[in-house]
Amino acid sequence: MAVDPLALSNQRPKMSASVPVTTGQKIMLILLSLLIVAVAIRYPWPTAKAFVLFSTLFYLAFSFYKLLLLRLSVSSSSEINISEEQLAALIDYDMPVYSIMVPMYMEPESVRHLVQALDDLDYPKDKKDVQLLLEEDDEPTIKAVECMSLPAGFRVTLIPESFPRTKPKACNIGLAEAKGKYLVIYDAEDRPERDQLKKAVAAFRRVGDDVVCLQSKLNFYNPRHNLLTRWFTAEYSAWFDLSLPGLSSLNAVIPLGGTSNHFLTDRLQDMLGWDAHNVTEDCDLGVRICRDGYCSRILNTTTWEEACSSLKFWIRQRTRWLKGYIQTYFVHMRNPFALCRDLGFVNFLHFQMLIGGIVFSFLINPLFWFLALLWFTFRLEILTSLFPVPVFAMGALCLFAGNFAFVYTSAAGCYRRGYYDLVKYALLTPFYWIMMSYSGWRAFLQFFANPFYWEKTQHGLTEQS
Amino acid sequence: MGSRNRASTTVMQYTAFLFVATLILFCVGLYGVESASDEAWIREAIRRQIAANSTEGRQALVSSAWWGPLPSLLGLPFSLLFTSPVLPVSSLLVSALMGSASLLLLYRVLQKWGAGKVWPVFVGAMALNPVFLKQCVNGSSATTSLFFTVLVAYGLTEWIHSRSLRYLVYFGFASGMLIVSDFNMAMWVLVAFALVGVDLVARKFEPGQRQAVLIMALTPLVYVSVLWLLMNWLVMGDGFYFLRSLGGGGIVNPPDSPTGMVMSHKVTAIVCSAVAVICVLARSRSGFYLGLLGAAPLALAYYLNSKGFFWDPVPLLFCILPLCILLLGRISGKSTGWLAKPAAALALIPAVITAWMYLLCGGLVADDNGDQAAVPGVSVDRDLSRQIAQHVMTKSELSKIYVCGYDGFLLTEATQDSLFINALDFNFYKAKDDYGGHALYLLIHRPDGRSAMESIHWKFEGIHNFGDRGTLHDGDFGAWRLYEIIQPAS
Repeated sequence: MAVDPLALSNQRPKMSASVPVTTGQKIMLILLSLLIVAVAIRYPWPTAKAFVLFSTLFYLAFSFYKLLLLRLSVSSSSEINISEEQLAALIDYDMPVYSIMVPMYMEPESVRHLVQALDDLDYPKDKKDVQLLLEEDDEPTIKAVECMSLPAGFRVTLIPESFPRTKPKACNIGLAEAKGKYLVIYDAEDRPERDQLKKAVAAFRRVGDDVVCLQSKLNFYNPRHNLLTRWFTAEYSAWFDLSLPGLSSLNAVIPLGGTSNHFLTDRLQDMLGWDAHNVTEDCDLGVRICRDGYCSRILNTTTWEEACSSLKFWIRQRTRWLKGYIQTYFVHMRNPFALCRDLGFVNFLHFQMLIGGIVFSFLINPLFWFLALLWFTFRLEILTSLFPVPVFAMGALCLFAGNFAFVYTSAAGCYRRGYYDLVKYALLTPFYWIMMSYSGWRAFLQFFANPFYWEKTQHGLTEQS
Repeated sequence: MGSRNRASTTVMQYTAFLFVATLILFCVGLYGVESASDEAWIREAIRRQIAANSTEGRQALVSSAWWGPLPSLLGLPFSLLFTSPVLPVSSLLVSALMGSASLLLLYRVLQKWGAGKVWPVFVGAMALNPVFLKQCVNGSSATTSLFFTVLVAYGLTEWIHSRSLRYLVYFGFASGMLIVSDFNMAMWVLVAFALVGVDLVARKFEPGQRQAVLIMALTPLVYVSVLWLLMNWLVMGDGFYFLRSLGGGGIVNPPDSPTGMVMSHKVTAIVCSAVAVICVLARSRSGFYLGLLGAAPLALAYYLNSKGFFWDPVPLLFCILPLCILLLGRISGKSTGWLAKPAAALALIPAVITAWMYLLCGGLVADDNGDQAAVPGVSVDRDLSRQIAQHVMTKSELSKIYVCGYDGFLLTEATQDSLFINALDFNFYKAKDDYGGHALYLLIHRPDGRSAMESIHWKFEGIHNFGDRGTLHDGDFGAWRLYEIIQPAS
């Protein structure tokens, strides 16, 4: 049977980012922009006030949302925990075949580590189905693999050169050839906890039929490399250890992380796999899982990755992620009513906050930082008139309470993860947000200029240094 | 799914309780609005000024440690939604809401601690307590600080017991909120932090974790304190303005002198300490710390008064009962040894009864309005302000009266007349600049109790009694003294 790596865009084009912005969306965007410009020219001051009001309401909602997630995550055990006893009760011959897919590109230096790490996973060797997904033109990595004798259960799947050249396209090809009942994706530099596969099996057996994906927690093995990795770790800890469990407890849509997603293979195949055109296919898949009536859960096990320690590559990586969020937002908002119907109203709001809200906040943050700076420095009266009392009250609440909540959440994430020495660095994360906003604008512009461009993350920087 | 449904049902029940209890308390407060506290009217006026985007409003929000900004801010949305010039709606709503929330929190804590089948009795003791009920319906901010006091005690106790991040967050958050609700509780909060420090040392944490715990616990407190400083710098031009009243000013008639400390305070303090010792014997570390926390308010109130500090003991004493109830719930709960249960419960019951009976007999009610005799109620103020206005207007129709301090809001609220101007940071030159050509007057409250801490008294020492250069005594109106401003003082 011929494998179609673009199955989603071919069979369900409305769910794919193959067309980033549809004609209808373009018309809507142009009309809306024209309307705003026209109103702004005719009534500049009321327009500015309306924008400030809208942004302030958004900030307020977003701050409360974050606080709610923090409250839920510290209050309830919303992730799936598998005890030692439950693991010990698993019998090897009763374990299903587990497919492990590792898409790689130009990463020859990671091969040895990777193979070793996957071989070390505590799972019956004859039940492992490991696919190294290598691009046909990636000679260095292919050679590195050929130089090794791969353990039993390992195989190489070559990905033919074609457009788009993305990780999800490779994964789709791997998915078609997966033999396991369950399937997991790892990146080349990942170091999953040894018992992760067994935990996933035990968890799948425990949860209901509607759960098709278990997201493992991600964190970094080089958190103390420099200030950037410390902040990055604080962010990841807050996201995977606090926010996602909070979302899970609300039964909300979960934007999946890039790796260590464990799936029911047949369900994933039914859902036509990943969107090969989306540069954050994981986030998109999380939304589609929810739209198709399934759900994802957080599994309390960690995969250790390498935190990007170079600012240049960090910005490229973050740009791609945020561009993918924009893609995902535009794809699913093609028909907001259908989205609302599929997700339910509450999850529709989660989607707005998690996918649209995050990007929107990064885009408007610089403007409001600038306004705050202007006011604190020059006390411009003109700014005061932009903020009528109720708006000012809400704005002040967001500025002082909301921002604090975000910072405190980062610190709490580090604390929960046991990175006690990083807690103090988490208090400095507002400087990190500046870089996020820069990446946000870069992503926004790139979304229109070069939507499918995959800015690959450079790994191995820590080891090199 | 079942547990999720149960959880959402519980949340619904709690929300319904909060809504209904708040509504009932609010209605009772409205019905007896004539007995609303002065604070209710003053906070209402502050909120109205903030809503009007006035300088006086911003100043009133941040300029005094004795008027914590949080209760004013909590009521601001209500004030914006339900504007009434004749009723302190937002104050009544805040006190009712926070009172209900305190009760609900107490109930949840006791239930969680598994305080046998007697927790309804404990919660009932709190709910039916006359002083608690009074604070719930009179629009004061005492219930706000009570809520955060209980949360601090709960967070600390649970953190010591379980080391869970959740309770550390609760503790840190509640400590910060308590400071900006009621500065009187600052010393008590420091005691709580000292207990955290002691525990960190006693348990031999690794240095990194010790540091992280302190950061997580202290950050909210430090943050709100810095924010308060920043606001003072922005609004008052002096970052430490709100703290000036703590060190200066004439201290006259502290409302509860050491000799006035009644026996029940001492007894309860001793009993709480004894219970703490019992908890040590029973190897209940968290019970020990909670016992110390329960004893601390009384000990602090006694100590601070004996040293002559003006440290309003009412908020400290107001939290005795809930802290005693928490302690009682803790030691009768499942998590302590067998020795603690009977011994400490028996010891605490008389303490609670003593405290309650004392409150019931009105000891604290009198203290609550310690300076009330000197501060006329609003109904009186209306006549008083009319008198003052008439007095001034007979001399010149082009007059302005600067009413100093927070008590001044009672007068301005009573008249809604532009003749009166609130002054929380009075400046002779600015007054002349703003109203050149007007006959200007300065109205100063006698420096009694909290009024003694107003900025006018520490900026111009002795001004009430002797005036200042450029002022001329013009008359006395109850506790208020009127000066005519002749020329700016140097």
